[in-house]
Amino acid sequence: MLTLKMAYRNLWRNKRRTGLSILAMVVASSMLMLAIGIINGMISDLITSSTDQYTSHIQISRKGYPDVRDLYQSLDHYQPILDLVRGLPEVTAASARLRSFGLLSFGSNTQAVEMLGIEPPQELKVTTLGRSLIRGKMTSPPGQVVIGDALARKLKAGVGSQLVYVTSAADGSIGNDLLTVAGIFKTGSSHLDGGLALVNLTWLEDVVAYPGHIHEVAIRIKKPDRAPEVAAKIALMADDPSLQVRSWQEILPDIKQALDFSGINILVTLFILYLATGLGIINSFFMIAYERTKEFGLMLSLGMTPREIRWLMVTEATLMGLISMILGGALGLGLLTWFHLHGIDLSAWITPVSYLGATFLPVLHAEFSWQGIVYPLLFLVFTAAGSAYIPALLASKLDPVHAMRRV
Amino acid sequence: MKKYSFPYHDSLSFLLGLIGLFLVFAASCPARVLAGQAGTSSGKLQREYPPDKLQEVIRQIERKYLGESAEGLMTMQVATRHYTRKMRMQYWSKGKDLFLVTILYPAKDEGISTLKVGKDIWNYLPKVDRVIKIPPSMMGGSWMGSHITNDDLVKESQIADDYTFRLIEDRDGIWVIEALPKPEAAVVWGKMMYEIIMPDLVPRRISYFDEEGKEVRGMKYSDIQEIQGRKIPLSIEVTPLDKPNESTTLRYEKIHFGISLKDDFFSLRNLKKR
Repeated sequence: MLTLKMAYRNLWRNKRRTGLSILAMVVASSMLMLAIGIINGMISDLITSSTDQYTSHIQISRKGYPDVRDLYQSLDHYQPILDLVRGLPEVTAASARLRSFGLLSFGSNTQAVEMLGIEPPQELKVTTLGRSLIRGKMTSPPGQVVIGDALARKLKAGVGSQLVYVTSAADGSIGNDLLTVAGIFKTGSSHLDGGLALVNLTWLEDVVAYPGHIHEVAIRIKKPDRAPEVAAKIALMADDPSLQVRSWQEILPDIKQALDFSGINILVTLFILYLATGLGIINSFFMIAYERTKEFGLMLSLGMTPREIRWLMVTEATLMGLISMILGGALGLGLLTWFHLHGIDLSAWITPVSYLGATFLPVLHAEFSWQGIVYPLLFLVFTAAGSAYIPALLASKLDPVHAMRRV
Repeated sequence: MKKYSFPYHDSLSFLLGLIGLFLVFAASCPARVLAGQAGTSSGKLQREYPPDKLQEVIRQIERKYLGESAEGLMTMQVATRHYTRKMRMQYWSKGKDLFLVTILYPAKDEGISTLKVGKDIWNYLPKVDRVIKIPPSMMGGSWMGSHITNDDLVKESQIADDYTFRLIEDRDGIWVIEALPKPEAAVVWGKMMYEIIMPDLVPRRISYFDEEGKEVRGMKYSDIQEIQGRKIPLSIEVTPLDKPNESTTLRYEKIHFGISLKDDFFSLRNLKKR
């Protein structure tokens, strides 16, 4: 108790010294929190941009369909599975999709496209194509279509243009109908912008003469990184061996690989960050001990045991660590919140990068994670206490006479 | 050692040796004669029918259904794993570059027409009243849901120019001709084998091979009839070998050669009118 009291008083004896040390720790810990937050933000951006635009987190389809995308490998009587999925607590939304490949034509220009029949309200809860809209509206009543901007340019069509879609229907006839362009989206992914068209599900059912059939159920879940577990759960509950339930990690193995690889990078970066922060703190405690050599000599002469000296210094450091933890935590959270809400837009210097079908917008934005907040703060306190121990050990071994003579 | 010395001195051994030699010769003789016969016969065929003459044979077969100009009715029956449907069509052709076909039945597809001019194909869709040009990337796609591709319509009439031909065999008047693509030609098939009934120039079967030399499609011709002095198989069955139990059968119900058609009959404007 006496040690604690003395330590507390010692802190405020030299306010500038203590203040500077605390400032160093606060800055170090809050910057560490921010750096982790931004790394998390980049990871979540990667997942978001690769899954949210089109893939979604989990897809249910007929076994084998994803490899061949054959019109006939469809799901019929899909309402029960849709209800089952929507009832799960992990699931945010689920959308039914019918896919057809055919020709989209405007005037003398014709392009091969992937036509995705969707139910707009549900689909918009699953994917974010609606947010990538650059012209027109996202609504898709029957007879309207939303296309990518590269496709629109190739067709030389704009909002309001009347297109023709032709495809082989399920009954062997030549399915064809008119479509009016309602909106144009731009995601930055050349694959989507140049070859995807969204139409109303019932309209497409009609054109391909395949009512009551869909090809996949696209699912959005609350925690994207838990997709494999949720997918396994759905597969278990559906209990239908002819179904294939795939998480985005399975659908986009390249992205998963990139993430796993960047995980190693991040680990190395974090190690360096923690090391730099720790060295900074150790340094400041060495300086403190060095400065107070004379004082320690005096205390030893007055009868304090080396053990008490050690404890005193460690307690001081822990107190400083705790204060820094509170201040650093507050500053770090503040910075995280600002970066989370606003971010720093670097688009003026860096153009968006399209990689593995995902698009990276050059915006530095932070994402919260409890590990990214708790670990740096705990690390701070323990490093402070630990790094004070070595100078304390040295101080306790001082020869009192020798130490007091020092200037 | 004496035992192994040359046995001329021993008359018995000499005799045995002579018989042995004769036996060997007699056994090998028919094979050699046969081989010689086959060799000379093949060589004779090739001398008599050099590649450019074979090319002329193929060209005549190509024109078999077209003539200088033709008009006709045909039915196309398409059987796949998922559906079977029958279509009735009317067609017109002039030379090898101009071709127009329109669907008469079923009602759902009535009026859908295809126009071929040289290497381009347009489809007319009456429901939406639009003409669509098939982009080059889709030329390998199915024509009207059948096992015939757009490329077949366009490139079938180029085969005589794009391939080199070799007579492999003359099986009692049925010629087996192998067609290999010319190095510079942009072709669909890696190899074709024709079976042609001579001297009528009637095709019996054509086999199509991919670049790896695997047979991927067969075309069988049957029901040979004489129309305006030409012997023509009225039925063509296309079978994709990678899809068992699937086929497309074309049957000519009416063919009329030598009709008068102007070139502008094969125009986009007329495509819409049909």
